[in-house]
Amino acid sequence: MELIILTRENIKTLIILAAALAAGFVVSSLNLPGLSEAGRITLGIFTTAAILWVMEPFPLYVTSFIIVILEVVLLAREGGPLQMTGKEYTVFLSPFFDSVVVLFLGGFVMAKAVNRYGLDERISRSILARVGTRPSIFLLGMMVTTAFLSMWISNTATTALMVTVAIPIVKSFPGEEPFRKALILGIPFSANIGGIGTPIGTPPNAIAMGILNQMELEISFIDWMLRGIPVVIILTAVCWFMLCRIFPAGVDRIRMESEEQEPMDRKSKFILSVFLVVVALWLTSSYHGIPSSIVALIPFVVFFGLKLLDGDDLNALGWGILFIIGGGMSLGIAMRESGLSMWIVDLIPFAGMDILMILFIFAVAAALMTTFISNSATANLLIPIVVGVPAVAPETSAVVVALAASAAMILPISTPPNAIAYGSGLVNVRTMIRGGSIITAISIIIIVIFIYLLF
Amino acid sequence: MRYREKKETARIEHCEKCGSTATKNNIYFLKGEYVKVYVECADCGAFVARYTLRGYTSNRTYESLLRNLRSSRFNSGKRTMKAVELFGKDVEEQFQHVRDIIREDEDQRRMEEIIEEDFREEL
Ligand SMILES: [Zn+2]
Repeated sequence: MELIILTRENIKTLIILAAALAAGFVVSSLNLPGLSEAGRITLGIFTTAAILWVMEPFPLYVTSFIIVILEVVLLAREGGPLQMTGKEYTVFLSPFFDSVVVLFLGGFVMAKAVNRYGLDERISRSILARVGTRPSIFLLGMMVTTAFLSMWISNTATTALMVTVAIPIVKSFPGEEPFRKALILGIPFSANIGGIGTPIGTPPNAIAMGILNQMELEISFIDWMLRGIPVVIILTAVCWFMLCRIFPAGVDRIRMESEEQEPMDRKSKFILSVFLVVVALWLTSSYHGIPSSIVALIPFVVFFGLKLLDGDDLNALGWGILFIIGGGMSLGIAMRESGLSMWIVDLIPFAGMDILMILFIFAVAAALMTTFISNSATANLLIPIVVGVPAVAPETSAVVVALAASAAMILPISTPPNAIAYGSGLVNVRTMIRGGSIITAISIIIIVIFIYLLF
Repeated sequence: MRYREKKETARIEHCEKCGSTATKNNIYFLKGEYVKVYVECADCGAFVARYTLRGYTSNRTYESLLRNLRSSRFNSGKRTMKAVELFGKDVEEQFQHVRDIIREDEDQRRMEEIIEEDFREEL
C-alpha cells in the first residue's frame, strides 16, 4: 500500500520543518556571551518559530503548538534549565485560553452571528445608499464603512463583503477609468486600517494586550479604542485623500442601483441588540467591574444557547487564529523567563537614542515584516522583544508595533484583504505597490507620532 | 476500479420513479439557514432528493470565492493568495474529474448507501 501521507507537498513541508529545527539547534548551541542556557535554548526555539512563521510550510497555528512542545520538552521539563517542577510547565499552555483569547473568541461569535443573519451586508448597503453619487465621496463612504465593519468583524470577511458590493459599481465604469483602482484598493486598505480600532479588530492587537497583561500592564477595551479610533480616522482620511490623488476620477457620477431594503426581522434585531449591549459593557468595564473577557462569553452563551448559531458555526469560528495568538504569548513567556528578551535588547544600542527614533525603528521593522509575513506572526516575533526596551514604556512599544503590523498595504500577499482585492483582477501588483507604499509610509509616521504623543 | 481504491466514487442522480437522469433544481432560501435544493425529476415531476448546501460555487468563481471568504477566516496573505489563485481552476478541474469517474466507472449503488450521513451534534 502506498503511503498517502508522503505526498510531494508533505515532503517539502518536512524538509522545511527539519531545516527550521536544525537551525534552531545550531543557534542554541552557539556560545553567546551573557546568555544563560535557558536563554540559548529559547533563542533556538525563537529561530525555529520565526522560520516556520515566515516560510509557512503549514498553517501558522501548527507552529504555535510546535513552540509549546519545544518549550516544555527543552525548557520546562523536570530538571530542565528553567528549574520548573510539577505542573509549572502549564504556564506555556495557559496563554491559549488567556483573557484576550477569550475576548477574541467573543468577537468571533458576534461576527459569526452578524454574518449569518446578513447584518453586515445590511449595514454596508444602508450606509452606501446614503453617501450619494459623487465618486470621491462615494469612495470615502465605502472606506469608512469598511473601516467601521473591520473594527468588529475580521478584516478578511469585511473585505470579501465590500468587494462584493463594489464590483458591480466598478464594472459600470469605462475600462480605462483610473478610479476603478481607487475603489478596489480603498477596500483592503481601509479594512487593514479599521482593524486597528478595537482590541478585537485584528490579532496583533490581542497579542499586544496579552503580552502586556503578562507583565501586569492592563490596557482596557476603552483605553485601546481611545488610541485606536483617532488613528483609524486619520489614516482612513489620509488613505482616501491619497487614493483620490493617485487615481483621480474621470467621471462625475457613480451609477449605483439602490434596492429597497426589507425591514429587519426579529432575529436580526435581537442579534444587533446583543451586539450593542456587549459593546456597551466592554466600554464601561471600569464602572461595573466585569472583565471584558467575561463579557465576551455573553454572546457565546446567548447565541448558541438560543440556537441562533449551531455546531457548524462553532467549528468555523477561527480557532486557528486563537491558537496563533496563544502561540505568540507562549513564546513571549519563554523569552522573558529565560532572559532572552533582555539579552536581545542589550544587543541593540538603544541607549542615548531618542524615544521617537526608537519607535520609528520598531514601526518600520513591523511594517517591513508584515509586508512579507502575516501580521500575527510579525506581532508574535516583535512584541516580546520591544516591550523589554527600557527607554520606552512597554505599552507604547507594544501598541506601536501592533498598529504598524496593520500597515500592510504594499503586496497582495501582505494580508488576506490585499490578496482578495488582487484576486478581482482589477488591480495588478505594480498598482498595489504604487498606491500602497506611499500609504504605508505615511501610516507609519502617523502611528508613531500619534501614539508617542498620547502615552 | 482505480477510483474506488482511492475511495472516490461518483454517480448521476436518477429519478426513483421513472429512472430519468434529467433533473431540475428548486432552490430554497431562508435567512440564517443553509440553502436547500429540492431536486425534481424533469420528466415526471417526482421529488428526487433534497440537498442542504454548505457551500456554493458557480462559474462566476471570484464572486463565489468572495461569498465563501465572508464566513471563513484567513490569517495569512500567502494562503489567501493561493486560495484565490486555485479557486477558479479547482472547480473546473474537479468538474472534469467527476465526469471522468462517471464515464469510466459510475457507482451503481443507491445514494443512501453512498452517503454516510453523520448526525450533527444539535440533533
Ligand atoms: Zn421521474
